[in-house]
Amino acid sequence: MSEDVQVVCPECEDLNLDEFIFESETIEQLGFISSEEKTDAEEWAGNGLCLNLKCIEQWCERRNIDSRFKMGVPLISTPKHDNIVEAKYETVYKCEECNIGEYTYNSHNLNHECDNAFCGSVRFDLEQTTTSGGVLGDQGYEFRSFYKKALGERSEVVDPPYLFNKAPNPFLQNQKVVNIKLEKEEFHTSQKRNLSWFECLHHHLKPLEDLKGTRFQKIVLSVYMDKTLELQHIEPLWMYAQRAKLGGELKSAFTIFENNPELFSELIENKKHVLQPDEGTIQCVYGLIKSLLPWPSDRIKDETIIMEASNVLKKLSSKGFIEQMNKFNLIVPTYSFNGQIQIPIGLIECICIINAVENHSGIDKFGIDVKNAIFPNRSKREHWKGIMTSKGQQFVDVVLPKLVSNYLLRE
Amino acid sequence: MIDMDVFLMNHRKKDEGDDFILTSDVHAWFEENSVERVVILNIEGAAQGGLEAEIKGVIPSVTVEYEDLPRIGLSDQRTPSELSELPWIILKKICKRVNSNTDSVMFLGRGAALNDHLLWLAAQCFVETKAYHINSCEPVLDVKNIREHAPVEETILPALLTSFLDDIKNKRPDTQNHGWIDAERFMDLINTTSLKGVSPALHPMVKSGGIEKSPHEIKSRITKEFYQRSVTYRLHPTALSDAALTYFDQKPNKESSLPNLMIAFGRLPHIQSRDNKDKQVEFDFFKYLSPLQPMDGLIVVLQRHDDTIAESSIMTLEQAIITFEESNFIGDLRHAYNVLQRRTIEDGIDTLDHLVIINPKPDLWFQMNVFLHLVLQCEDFESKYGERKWDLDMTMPVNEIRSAVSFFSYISNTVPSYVLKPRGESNDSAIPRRDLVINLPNRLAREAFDQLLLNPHGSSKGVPNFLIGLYLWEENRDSTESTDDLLAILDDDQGSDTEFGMKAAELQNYLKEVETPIRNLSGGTSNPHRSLGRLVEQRLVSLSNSHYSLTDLGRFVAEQLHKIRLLEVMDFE
Repeated sequence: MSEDVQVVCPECEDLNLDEFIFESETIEQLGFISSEEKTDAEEWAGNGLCLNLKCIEQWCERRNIDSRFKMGVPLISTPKHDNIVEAKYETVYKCEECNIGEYTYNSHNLNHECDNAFCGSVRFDLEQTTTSGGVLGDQGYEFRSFYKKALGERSEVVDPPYLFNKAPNPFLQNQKVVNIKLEKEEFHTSQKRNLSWFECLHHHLKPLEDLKGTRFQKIVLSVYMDKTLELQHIEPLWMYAQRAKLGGELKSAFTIFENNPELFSELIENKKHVLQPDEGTIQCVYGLIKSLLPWPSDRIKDETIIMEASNVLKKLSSKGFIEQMNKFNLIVPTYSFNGQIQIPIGLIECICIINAVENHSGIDKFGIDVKNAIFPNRSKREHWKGIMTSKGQQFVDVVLPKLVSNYLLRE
Repeated sequence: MIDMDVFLMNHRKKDEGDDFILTSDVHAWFEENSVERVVILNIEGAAQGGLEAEIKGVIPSVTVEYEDLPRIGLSDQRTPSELSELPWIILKKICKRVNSNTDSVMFLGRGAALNDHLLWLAAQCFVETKAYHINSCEPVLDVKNIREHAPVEETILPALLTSFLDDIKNKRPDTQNHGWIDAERFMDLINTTSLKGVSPALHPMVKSGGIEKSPHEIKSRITKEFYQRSVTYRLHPTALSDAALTYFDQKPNKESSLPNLMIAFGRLPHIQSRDNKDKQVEFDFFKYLSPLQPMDGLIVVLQRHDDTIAESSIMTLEQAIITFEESNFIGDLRHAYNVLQRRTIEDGIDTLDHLVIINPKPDLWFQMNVFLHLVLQCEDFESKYGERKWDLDMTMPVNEIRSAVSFFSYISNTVPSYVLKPRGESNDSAIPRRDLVINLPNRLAREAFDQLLLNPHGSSKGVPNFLIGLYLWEENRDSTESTDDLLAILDDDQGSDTEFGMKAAELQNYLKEVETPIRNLSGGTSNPHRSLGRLVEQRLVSLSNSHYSLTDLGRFVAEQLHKIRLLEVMDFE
C-alpha cells in the first residue's frame, strides 16, 4: 500500500483501531473476500475489517440491511490528511502574456497562475472556483457539466446515434479527445455533423433548463426528438425505452413536452415529412430489431429482407391501409407529439419487417419470434403497452398477426 | 427375472484415474436385472467415450442403440422458436425409443440438468418405465399414483403431508420421527372429531407400502403395565405423489396477474474454504440469475458437497449459519447470506429466508425432504407477502436432487425454465439476456402423453385438451376469417363487442364438434372453468371478459401438445 494512503473504518475512522483485523484467514471466516483483486466493494475486505459492533450496526443501518450475520465493516483506503494532493482546476482563461499557457487556480495562494512553466504570470482578478466540487463559475461549462452528470454512465440513452463522451474530469488537464468512428448502419442520416451528444442536443436542452423535470428526463426527450427528426434515426419509442433501460423517466420526459406544447414545434413543422416510412427508415428499424433477439445471420440476407419489407410498404400504401390506420389513435396522447402523430413512429416499418421475415426468411415462425421481440408479452408493464392506447394494443394483438400472415398474400 | 430396457446419457469417466465409466454398483445392477437393451442418448457431435464397450463387457448379449439428441446452445444461430422447441424434440425422441410393453429404467444423474429433467419426464409418461438415479441405482420420486383414491383418502393423504410440513416448520428436533401421525393429530389436521372409516381407507395404502404403520404400546403411569395399543402412520416417499397431488389440487387456482416468486438454485461460494482445485470461488449467483430478472420474490437453494461434514442435511440459510458456526465453510455461508441480502434489497426483490442443502444424496427420503422444504419455504413466503405465482429454474440443481426438483415443479404446476450459458463468443454477446431463458415441457406434456397412450394411471383432467382446442379454434379462425376490413375491429361501434377468444362453454362444445384426427379430444373436459383456470395460472391462457385466448407461450405449448397428439400418434401405434 502506498505510504500516502491509510486504511480507516468508514464509520469510526480509526477510533476502534484495536478492533481492526487484517489476517486474510479471519477475514474469510467472517464471510468477506480478502483477495488482492478488488471485487464487490460491499463484500471485499482486502484492506481489513473493523469488528466494532456499533460500527457494524451503523454500517448496516445505512444500507437498510439486517446486521445479525454481518461480522465486520470493510476498511477503506483514504489519502493521509497531511499529504493531500492539491487539485488543480482546468479553466477557460488563456494567458495573454505568453499566449501559450492557461491560468490554473491555486487554492493555496488564492490566485490564478499560468501553467506555462516559462511564463509565471499571476492574476488575482479572475473568477474563482466557489465550491469544493471543482465547478467553475463559467455558465456554459456549468450547464454542460450538469447535463453530463445527469446522464452519468448511461451511454445507451444517447448511443446510437450520438457519441457518448463522458464528462471531462475537471482534475485532469490536457485530456486527449478520442474520436470514435460511427458505424454507417448505426443511423440513417445523410447529414454530416458533430455527433457528440451534448453538442447535438445543447440547443434543445437550453430552453428546457428552467422547465419542471429532471435533467435526465430532458436529455431523454431531446434525444428522441432530435434523433428522430434531425437525424431520421427512426426507432419505435418502446424499443428506445427498452434499449435505454428507461423506467418511469420516459413518461415524465414526454410530460414535459405535453405541458409545454410550444417546444419543438418549429422542428416538427419543418421536419415532419421525415417520419414518412421509406426504405431508409425500414433499414434503420431493421438494424435495431436485429439486436433484440438471436439473429440467424447465416440464413438471412439483410438486403433481401429490406427489399421485401419495402415491397410490403408499397402494398400497404397502395391498399390505402396506412391512410386507414391514421383514423385511429393508436398512441397515448402523452407520446403523440401533442396530437401531431396518430401512428407510433416506426410501427409501419415494424409491420413491413415482420411480414418480410415471416414470408421471405424461409425460417419457420421467425416472424412470430420477431413480433414477440418487438412487442414482448411477459408482463403488463411492457413499454409498448404503456405507449400504445387500448386500440393500439388491440392492433398488435389481433390485427398485426393477420396482417403478417395472410392479408398481403391475398392479392 | 424380467428383461429390461435401460436409457442413459452418454458420458465419460468421472476422473481420468477411474477404471470404468459406470460404477461397480451399476454393473451389478445391470447383471441382476437382466438388461436386454440399452439406449445411449448421445448429444449430437459429442465423441463416444467407450460406454457401449463397457456395457457389452458386463452383459455380452445386450443390444446397444444410440439416439442422437440435439445440442442445446447458442452456437448454432438458432431462432428463439427453434431454441424453445428443442426440449420438446428431445422429449419426443426419448419417448419414441420407449417400448411401452417392456419394463424400462431411465438412469438420471449424468449430463446437463435439462436432459435429466426430460429423462425424468419421459419416465413419467409410461406405466412400465421408472426413473433411477445412477449413483444409488434406486428409484427417484415419481408422479405415478399408487392407486385411484377413494374420496375419504383425499382428506387423509394431504393430512399425512401436512404432518411433515408442521414438524419441519416447528423445528422438531427428532428428525427421524418427522411425519408420524397418531389419532389425535389426525383429527386435528383433518378437522374432525371422528376417525370412522380412516383405518379401512388407509389399509390399501399401507398394504402397498405407501404408508408406514407403527403399533405402539402405552405404559400405564400407575400400574407400570402396558395397557393400550396405539397406532401411528407416516407417509412413505413412494406415495408422495398420491398425497402431494391431492394436497395441491385442493388449493385454489391462482390468477395469472400475481407477482412471481422465483425459486432458483446455486452453489455455495468458496470464500473461506477452497474448491477441489484449491481456489476461491466467488458467489456469481446473480450473474446466472440476471436473464430471469425482473422478479418479485426470490428463494435461493444453496448446495454444497463437503467431505468434512458426515451427514446430509437441509435447512434454512439462517439455521445453517448457526448450525455450522464451527465448520470450515462458515465464511462461505456468511458471505452468501450477506450478498443475497444486499442484492435483493438493491433490486427490490422480496425474500424471507433461503435454503441450504449440504451433501445432497439421491435416496427417496432425502428427495422427499427436499420437496417438503421447498413447499414449506414457498408457503411461508406467501404467508408473509401474499399469494405468488411460483416460477422454478432448473438450471443449477446438483444432480442428486434434480428429480426432486422436477417432481416439485410437476406437482406445483410451474413451467420450469432453463438458462442457456452464453458461450462468450462475440456473436453471442449481442443476444438479449432474456432470450437465454427457455421454458421446459412439464405436466401438460405428460398429460398429453397420458391421453395419447390412454394410460390407465393417468391423472389428466383434460387440461391439455382445452389448450389444443383453443389452438385449433384460433388456427381455424385465422385461416377462414375475412381479411377485407382488418381494421374494423378497432372501430368504436364494433370494438366493444368483438372480444377475442372463446367462452368456457363454447370451448367445451367446440371440443366435441371439431373435426380432427385426434382421438378423445373432449375427454376429461367436464369441468372447463377449473381446467382453464389452471392454464390461466400457468400463463398459457389469458382471460378477458369471460373469454379465453392463448398467450404467446400458450400458443407454443399448444402447438407442441398438438404435435404429440397428432403426428407422433402414428409412431406409438
